[in-house]
Amino acid sequence: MAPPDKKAPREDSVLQYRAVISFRVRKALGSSNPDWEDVVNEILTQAVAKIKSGEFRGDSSVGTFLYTITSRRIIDYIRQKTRVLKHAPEPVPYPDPHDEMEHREKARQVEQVVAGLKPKFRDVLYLYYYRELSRDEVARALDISPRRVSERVNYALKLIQKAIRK
Amino acid sequence: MKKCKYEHYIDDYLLDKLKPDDQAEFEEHYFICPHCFAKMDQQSEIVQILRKEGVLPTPGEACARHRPAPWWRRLLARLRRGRQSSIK
Repeated sequence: MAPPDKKAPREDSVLQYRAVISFRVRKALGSSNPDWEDVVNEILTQAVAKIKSGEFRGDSSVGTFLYTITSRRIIDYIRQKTRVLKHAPEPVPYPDPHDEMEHREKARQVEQVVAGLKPKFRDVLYLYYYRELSRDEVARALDISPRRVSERVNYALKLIQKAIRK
Repeated sequence: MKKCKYEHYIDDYLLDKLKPDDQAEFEEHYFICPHCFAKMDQQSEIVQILRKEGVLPTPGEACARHRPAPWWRRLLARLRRGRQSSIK
């Protein structure tokens, strides 16, 4: 019996990447795009087929292999969409009520933490995340160093993450 | 835990501030780095909430106090500081 190919990945190993692929697809297509889940499923199906057929032999890591398939599929989707639905209105997606509730709860927790922050932290968050200034621009606006901006952002984020994890 | 060298890309990636080359590099990276992906996934939701209208105080309430002093006042302060240190 021929020894099994040590590099060839198992077909189900791609399923562990569902979250990463979903993130990348939603970022590219927009989270409110109702097609994102279908695109993710197509990517996974395509990856499994390539492993099954031996087209992917494990020369690169599974992650890199999936990154390539995902990027190509996103480009195809955007091209297709631009061609077919250039002027058509986007359908309104139906949000999952459970996800919605969870997100609302998290938003409430974040708002609570933000309200309790000292103004110097809130101001940095406002300029950096809401106004989308760069770290250097925030530093100039508040007359502090860019390093201090990073420290304040990281500190505030840590507090928020802690509150959400509870 | 050791920090990944790509971690500093997370914020800029979420805010679409990375250069196209850096963006592609980071996207390829987080497919093979569970640490960066976990951190970014968690941060992404927080960033989305922070970017919503009304979550962070408006500039009038927040930033007015922190507007930098006019240039001439800062220059004056620097000169004063310089003079004080030379006297010492």
